[in-house]
Amino acid sequence: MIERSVKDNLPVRELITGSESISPDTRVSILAERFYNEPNLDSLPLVKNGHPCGLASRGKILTTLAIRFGFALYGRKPISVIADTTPLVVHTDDTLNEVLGQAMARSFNDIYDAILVVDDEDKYVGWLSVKRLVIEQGNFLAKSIVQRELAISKAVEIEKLDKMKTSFMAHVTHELRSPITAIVGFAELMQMRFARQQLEDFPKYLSLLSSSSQNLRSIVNNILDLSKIEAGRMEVFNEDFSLCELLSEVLETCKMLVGEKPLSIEVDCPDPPATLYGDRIKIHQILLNLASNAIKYSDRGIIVISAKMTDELQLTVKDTGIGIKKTDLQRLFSAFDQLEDAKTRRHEGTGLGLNITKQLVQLLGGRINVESTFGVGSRFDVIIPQNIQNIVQEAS
Amino acid sequence: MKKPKTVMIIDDDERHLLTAKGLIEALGYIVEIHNSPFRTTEKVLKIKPDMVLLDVNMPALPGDRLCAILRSEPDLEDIPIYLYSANDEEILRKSVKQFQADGYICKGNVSALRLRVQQVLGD
Repeated sequence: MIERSVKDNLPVRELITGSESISPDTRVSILAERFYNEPNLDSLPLVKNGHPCGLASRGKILTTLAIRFGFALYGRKPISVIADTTPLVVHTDDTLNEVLGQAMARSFNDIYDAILVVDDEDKYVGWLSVKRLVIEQGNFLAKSIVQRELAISKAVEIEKLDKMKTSFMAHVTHELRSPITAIVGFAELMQMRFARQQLEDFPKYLSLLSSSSQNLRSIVNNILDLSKIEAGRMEVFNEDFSLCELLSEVLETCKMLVGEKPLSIEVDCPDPPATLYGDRIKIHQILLNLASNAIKYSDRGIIVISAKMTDELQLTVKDTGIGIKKTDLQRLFSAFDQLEDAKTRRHEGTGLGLNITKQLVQLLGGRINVESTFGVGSRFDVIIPQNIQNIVQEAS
Repeated sequence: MKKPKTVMIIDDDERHLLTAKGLIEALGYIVEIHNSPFRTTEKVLKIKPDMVLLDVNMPALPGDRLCAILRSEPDLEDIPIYLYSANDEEILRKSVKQFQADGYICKGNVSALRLRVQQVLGD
C-alpha cells in the first residue's frame, strides 16, 4: 500500500470499491426499491453460486423501468432479464492500466459501468468503480510528473555540487601545496646554506618559513573544521569569559595580519566591561574569521570591530575594502566558492572561511548578515542570542 | 670560461621566487626573477633566458595563457618554457598541451626541479 501512489501497474485487487452482490433471481421490483432507497448505490453485480453473471446499473435499470409500461412489464421478472449479462470481468491481478484500457474500449454508454473482479477460480471478489480508477490514474500521473521534476532538479543540483566540489578540490590542492612548497624549499635552501655557513639570509628565510607554516596550519584547520561541522561533530562548550579580553586578543592577531598595509584597526568594547557566558573559542573564531577577511580584502582605511550587549550579543566587523557585488552576495556563504576565479585571483584562500563562520554562528543559535557596497566596503553583523546561553547555564 | 646559462622565473609569490632562485643558483646557473605576469614578454625578450619557469595561478593573467603569449613571439618560439605550479598534475598536463609549454614542474618537488633544469640546460 505504501508504494501505491507511485505505481500505475498496481493490481486492481487493491482498488476494489465494494463487494456487495445480488442474486440474478431477485425480482426487478425489489432491486428497484433498493435503488430508490439507497441513492449512493450505483450498481449491484449479479452473482450466482459465487460466480458473477451480470451487472445491474442504477441508471440503466431505472431508465428501463421509467419508460412506458416498464415497471408493469418487468416488475415481477427476475433481474437477469433486464440486467447487463455481459459485464466487464477482470482478474484480481490485472493492473490498473490494463483494466482502465479495457473499460475505455467499451461502447460509449457502458464506459462508466462497474467492473467485476474475480479470483483464480473465477469467483466474485468485488467490483471496481471506473470513476475511482480514473482518479487513481490521474493521481499517479500528477505524482509522477512532480516526481520527475523533483528528480530532474535534484540531478541538476547534484551536478552543480559535483562541479563545485571538483573546483574546490583543485582550489584546496593548490592552497595546501603552495605553503608546503615554500616550507620544503626554505628548509632545503637553509640546509644547503648551512653546510656552507652562509647564514646571512637566515632571518628572512626563517620568518617566511614560519609564516608559511602558519598559513598551512590555518588552511588545514579550516578543512578540518568544515568536515567536523559537516559530520555534525562540532560541539558547543560554554564558559564565562570577558568580552573585552576576547576583543583585544582578536585585535592582537589582526595587527599581525595587517603587516605593512596602511590599514588601522579599531575595537569598540562595551562599557562597562561585560562578562559573557558562551562558547568563547567559537565566538573568537567567528570574529577572527570576519576580521581577517576584512584585512585580506582591504588595501587601506579602517576596520572597526565592535561588540554590543543587549539581550543579544551583537558583533560587527566593518571595513573599507573592495566590497562585494550585489550579484555575489547570495553565494558569499557557500563553501567551495571563492568569488574570484582561482587561476587569476589576487587573494589566496580556500574560500571556506565565511561558510565556516556562518555554520559556527548557526551552531550558537545566531544569525549573520552582510551589507556591502562594491568598491566602498562591507559590514558583517553577527547576532547571538544570550537567553539561549543563559538557559544552557541554568540547565548545566 | 663559458658563460653560465640563465633561468628566468615568473611567479607572484615571493616565497616561491626566493626558494626556486636559491635552489637553481646552487646548481651553478644564473637566475632572473619577475613577480608579475605583466611586462613578462618585455623582460624575457630583454634577458633572453635559456629556460623559463612560469607559475600558473597569478592575478589577472594565468601563467598558462602567458605561455601561449610568449610562444607567439617569433624570438621565443624555441625557448624551453615550463609551468611551475602547485596545481594538480592532471590540470598541468592539459595546460602544457593547450598552451604549448614544453612541460611542467610540480612545486614542492625539489629533486624534480633540479633534475628538469639540469636536463634542459645541461651541466
